Amino acid sequence: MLGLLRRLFDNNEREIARYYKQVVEPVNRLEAEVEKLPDLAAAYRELKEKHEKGASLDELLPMAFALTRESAKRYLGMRHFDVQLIGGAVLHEGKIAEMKTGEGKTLVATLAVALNALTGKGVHVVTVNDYLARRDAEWMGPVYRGLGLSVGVIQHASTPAERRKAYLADVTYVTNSELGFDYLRDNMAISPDQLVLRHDHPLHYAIIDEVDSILIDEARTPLIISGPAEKATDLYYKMAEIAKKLERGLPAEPGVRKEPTGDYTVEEKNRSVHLTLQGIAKAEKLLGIEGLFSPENMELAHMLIQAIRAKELYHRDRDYIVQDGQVIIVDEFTGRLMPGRRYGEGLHQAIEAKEGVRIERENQTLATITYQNFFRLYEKRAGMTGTAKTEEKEFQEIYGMDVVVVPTNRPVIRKDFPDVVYRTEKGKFYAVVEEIAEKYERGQPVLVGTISIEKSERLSQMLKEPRLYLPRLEMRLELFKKASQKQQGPEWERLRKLLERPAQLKDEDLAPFEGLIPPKGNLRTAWEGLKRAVHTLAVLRQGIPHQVLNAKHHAREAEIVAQAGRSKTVTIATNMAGRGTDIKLGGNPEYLAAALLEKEGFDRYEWKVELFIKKMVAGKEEEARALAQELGIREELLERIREIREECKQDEERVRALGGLFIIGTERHESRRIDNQLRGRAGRQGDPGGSRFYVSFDDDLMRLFASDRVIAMLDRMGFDDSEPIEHPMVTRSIERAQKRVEDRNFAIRKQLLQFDDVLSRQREVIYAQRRLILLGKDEEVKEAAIGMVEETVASLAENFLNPEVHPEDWDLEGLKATLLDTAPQLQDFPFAELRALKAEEAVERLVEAALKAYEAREAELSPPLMRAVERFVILNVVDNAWKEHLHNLDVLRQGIFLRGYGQKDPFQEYKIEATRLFNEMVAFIKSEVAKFLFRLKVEAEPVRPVREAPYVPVPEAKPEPSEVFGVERKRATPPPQPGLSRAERRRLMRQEKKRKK
Amino acid sequence: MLKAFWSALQIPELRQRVLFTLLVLAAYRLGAFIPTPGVDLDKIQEFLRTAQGGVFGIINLFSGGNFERFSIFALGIMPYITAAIIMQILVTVVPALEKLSKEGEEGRRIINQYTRIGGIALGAFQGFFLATAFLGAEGGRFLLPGWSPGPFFWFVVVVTQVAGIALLLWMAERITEYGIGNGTSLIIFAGIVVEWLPQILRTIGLIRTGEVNLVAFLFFLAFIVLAFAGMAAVQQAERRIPVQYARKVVGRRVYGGQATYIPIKLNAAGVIPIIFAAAILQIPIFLAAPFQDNPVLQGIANFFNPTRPSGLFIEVLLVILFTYVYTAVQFDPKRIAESLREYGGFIPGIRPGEPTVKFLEHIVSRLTLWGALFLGLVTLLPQIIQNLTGIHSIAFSGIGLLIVVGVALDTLRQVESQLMLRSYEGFLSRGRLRGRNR
Repeated sequence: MLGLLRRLFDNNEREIARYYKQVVEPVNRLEAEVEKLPDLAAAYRELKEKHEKGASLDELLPMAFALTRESAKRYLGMRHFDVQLIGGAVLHEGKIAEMKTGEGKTLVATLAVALNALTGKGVHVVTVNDYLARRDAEWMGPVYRGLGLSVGVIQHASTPAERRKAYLADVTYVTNSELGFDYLRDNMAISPDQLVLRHDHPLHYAIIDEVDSILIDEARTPLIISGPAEKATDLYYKMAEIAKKLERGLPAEPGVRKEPTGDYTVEEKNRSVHLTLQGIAKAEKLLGIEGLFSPENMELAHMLIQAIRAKELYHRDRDYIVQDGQVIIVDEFTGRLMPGRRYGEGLHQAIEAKEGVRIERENQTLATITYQNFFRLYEKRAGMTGTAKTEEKEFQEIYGMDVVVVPTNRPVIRKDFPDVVYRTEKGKFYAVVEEIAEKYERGQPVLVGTISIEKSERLSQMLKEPRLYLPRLEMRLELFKKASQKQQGPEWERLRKLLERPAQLKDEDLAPFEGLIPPKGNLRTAWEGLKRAVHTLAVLRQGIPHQVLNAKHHAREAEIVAQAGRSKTVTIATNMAGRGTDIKLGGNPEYLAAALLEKEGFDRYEWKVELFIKKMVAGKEEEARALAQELGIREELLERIREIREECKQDEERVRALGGLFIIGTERHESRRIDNQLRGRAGRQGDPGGSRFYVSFDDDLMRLFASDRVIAMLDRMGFDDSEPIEHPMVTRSIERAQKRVEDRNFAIRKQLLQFDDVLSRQREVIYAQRRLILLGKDEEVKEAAIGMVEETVASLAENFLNPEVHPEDWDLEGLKATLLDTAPQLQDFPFAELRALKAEEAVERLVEAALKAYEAREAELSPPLMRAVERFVILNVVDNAWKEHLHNLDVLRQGIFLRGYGQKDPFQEYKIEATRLFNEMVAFIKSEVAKFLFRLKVEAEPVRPVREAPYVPVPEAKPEPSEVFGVERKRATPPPQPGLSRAERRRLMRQEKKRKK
Repeated sequence: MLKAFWSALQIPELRQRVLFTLLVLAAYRLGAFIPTPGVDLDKIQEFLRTAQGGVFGIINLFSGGNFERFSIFALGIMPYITAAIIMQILVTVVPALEKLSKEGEEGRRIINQYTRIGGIALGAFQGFFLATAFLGAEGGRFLLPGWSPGPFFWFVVVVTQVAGIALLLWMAERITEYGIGNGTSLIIFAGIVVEWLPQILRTIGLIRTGEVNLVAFLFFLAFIVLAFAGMAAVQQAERRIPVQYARKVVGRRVYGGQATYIPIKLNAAGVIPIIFAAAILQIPIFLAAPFQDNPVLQGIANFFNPTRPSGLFIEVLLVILFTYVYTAVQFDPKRIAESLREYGGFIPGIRPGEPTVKFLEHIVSRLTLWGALFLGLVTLLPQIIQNLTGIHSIAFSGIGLLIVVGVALDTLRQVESQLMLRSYEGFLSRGRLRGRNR
């Protein structure tokens, strides 16, 4: 193992050496030359011409990087470090650059962007949230503009016109979800002017920020656009009530009990619940039905199971919160609220029923894609993050992306202490409080990471109410009494008397007895514990001011984070304080200055304002003053910013001396990466810092995934929570549990991807053809329509005109009925004459007749109108069929594992069945299109040409369900309202219905 | 079948996979000609033709003739298969393993690893047994001059065989991963098929010399083809038990009926009961072998000899028995009912839990009877055909045929599924008629 690690490390080392030689040195050599260039944009244009003439991007890399660096130097006051150049080259090569927090990923991206923008095909920089997209775009804007590149930003609220413009820019900053949804919506567009992505190279090159978050954490939650389905039923409330009445039992376990107990059992690992026979009977009685599991009650059974899952597996303030009568999901990885996202398969409704809020309506999937498959559509993609190495294997195996660890500009000197493990959660939390109290007293800033809103608030409560700490003191006292039982003497009597009123104890009370206690042994340990408890209580009594940062209290997020590095600051946060939070020791003067200026009415995001702040904070007052004059910033403000700067500097010195920011993790996350994210908040850019994780065997991770044997052993050894458990077995056990979960999640993601690949291929085919109809020339559309008519008529005819059957026996009546159903225009066709022909010829005759009828129809409607109708019909039919197909695949996937019982490979069976469904869908599309084209009546109100159809903005609508592997993010969009008026669509539908009768 | 393969070859990736598979199989075949050091092949082959040699017939079958050449792959992949079967049984018996098997992918991986280790350990054991009790018996009956039985020779044999089986396992896994079909099955398949060729050629030679009647030979071929067809039909026969998932009904239709079912194969136990029966029947013969002079023991051995009617009868009985046993292991209604429930599925009209178990048990027990009779028939097949046609120069076994059919079907299905993913045409496919018209 060690050898392997070393080899990997060496590999990286060698890579880095290569980059120094091939990238850093040439770029540095060009620096002097570029410095003298009067016009960077002109130089960049020159490069572009060279590229057009055939110079490869790799050849142009040194010059492009040198220009970008110079542009940043001139317009941003920042110069790319050598290691940042390496990062840029890694990104250019389509790999993942692992860079620690504070190493300036945003700046690194500019290098690869500027280089790849030479192609003129557009580069997307993908961020995790709107704020970062805007901040980065505006912040880096000057660099790009200096090179003559245009920058676009897309925000959640952007209009289609804004989006289109942003995507046409050389660089586009956009969040992963906006990007994904734009792609899906583009593929639901009914006219070309609805498209927002570029028409020629929609997906060229993407640089994905926090790539592990997007490609790994979010891999299990596909993007879904859904449309409204029927109204939700009130039955959910009833089910919630029944669920409340049912009792949880224990599952059957090999060797322990044969039958499960209670009304239902819960399987936490895969988040499922099972009704027992007793539970079924009880539910049937409560519902007043028989046969809960007979087909007609299928939906009831489903709703009941979801109601029980909502009751047992989804907890308020952990998985979701209730706000303004709505159930809002909390993201497991980022701790952020996900308004608009809903659990699938009626689970969300079940939770709404449980919480007694209004139940939203059901929705249906219209389009879906996973991030994995979405980003694979790019011609080239690269990523950056602070934590990728642990998932290197997955990146390589699934995305074919290598991970390169870019060295830090300054070495990381953060001290990561070994985990402290307690038997119970209670013991753990007391210990955390003690550590916080200690650090607070010293003045060292502390950031406490918790895994849920609930836990963060619980900890905050413990800091606020000293009485909650009392039991700990009492326990310490007990231990001490026990240890000192045999001690005799007047001094001891005095001490015992003192200890009778523990709540009033103070440090000073205990000090005189110090000499009584032997320097080593049990008694000493108990004494120290007692002293610590007394001291902690005292500190708690004086109060520990602290900030809580979670999804419920996030309005002041930026402010809290900006100040988290000040001395004597305690910040309790959920995973929210993870990615993208840069905690500066002594506080962030830039933020404070920006806030100040904002209050004075300046736009803090304007690049000149930012530049001004940067110069001020960096102490370059001359340059700042010039800018201040230009911007109209008063002298008095300059003075205040100077004060802020000095204050922060002083505090920074203080904090540095105390050892920098200290991170306390209160639970290990399922993935080591998330832990590393938290750790990475400390020790940025060579700052001092420390981190320590507290773990207990009550934590979900340990409860579900640690070996039972270790837990049993611990119980046998009688750990009582007073002291942390230190045993190599325990440390190993934590590691193994985490590794197990990681492997398991990887396997799930891999399997998900495997299945999704099938859908992905089908989607590619359908979307590509759909695009052809949408953007294709008129002739192409006509050809497509005629092709479908031909095939439909031919295959219908072939069903009746069997060459192996004697023509006399052909069922011409049936043939006629069937064909007229599709094309009434064939009413006058002489069907009887077909008997004289060979089967093949007969089919051909029919096809010809159908085509002739089609031409007649075109003449009647006029060709342009016919084209518009064709486009409209094909797109609508395809979209509807695709929607049904998505649902069918969902159903298929759910049951396919059963094939394993017949010794068949479920995945292989899935491919076969999915293909069958796809072919059925295609046949359906063809025949539906043919039918519509023949039967569609275009009445008085002329059809507006499709091209002029208005864009349907995507409303802030309620998203939707369907949960196979956890949450799915969804957003709803109304059914497309193309060129036809609503009345017309209804008429069409009526006709269709009539026809079916 | 050929058509599917032909179209598969048109696709570069599939072509590569097929070529890779053939390459590995060729390497396997090559290894079959590398003998284990110190073994006298002529003497072994001579011995195998004698009656006592029959003991090793089954090993020879599964090793694709490697045994008689005593190559580095002499044991074939059989130890691994044995380990897999044992593992499968253990999983249903040992709670810790049962738990592991339910842990999803991760658990399966660990179990696989155990199986591999088990297979290699078994290989080592068998190698040692062969080296001491067989090759080294009677003062080194099968040894080349210059070799003598003893620790050194044993060591050489064990190391060679362990290396051989490990290599073979590795090759099988490569096929599964980068080739087409299941590597383990294909290696057995190739071994069996390869052995047929020389026998058929020899028989054709016998036709020329007049020792075999041409008509009989044609009959023989016809029978074999018929047997193939019958087996293919039975292998694919399955009872489909519809399963319903409690889920939201979206839109108008309720889907899912057609594709969501538990397939219960008519012959759920596969070839394993035949292997077991044959192996057990060989124990008495094997045990009696050293006592050539004891008429009582020889009598017992002869009674169990499957080439005689009495032995054959017992064999068929054993096959039927083992079919029941193995089906029960393979198809555990309790586990199925559990996992159905886990994902919210149920058989329409049947309650989850105990009633589902009962229902499944009922269906399985009815199916198993037919499966068992089928396997019994397969066991008898060689005897029947040989007696009907009078051709004894082609040694084939029912298991061999069944394996060949099963592997061919599986591989074909895999090719089919691979092909499908690549053949999506979409709704804009050029009409069939157009090609003709224009």
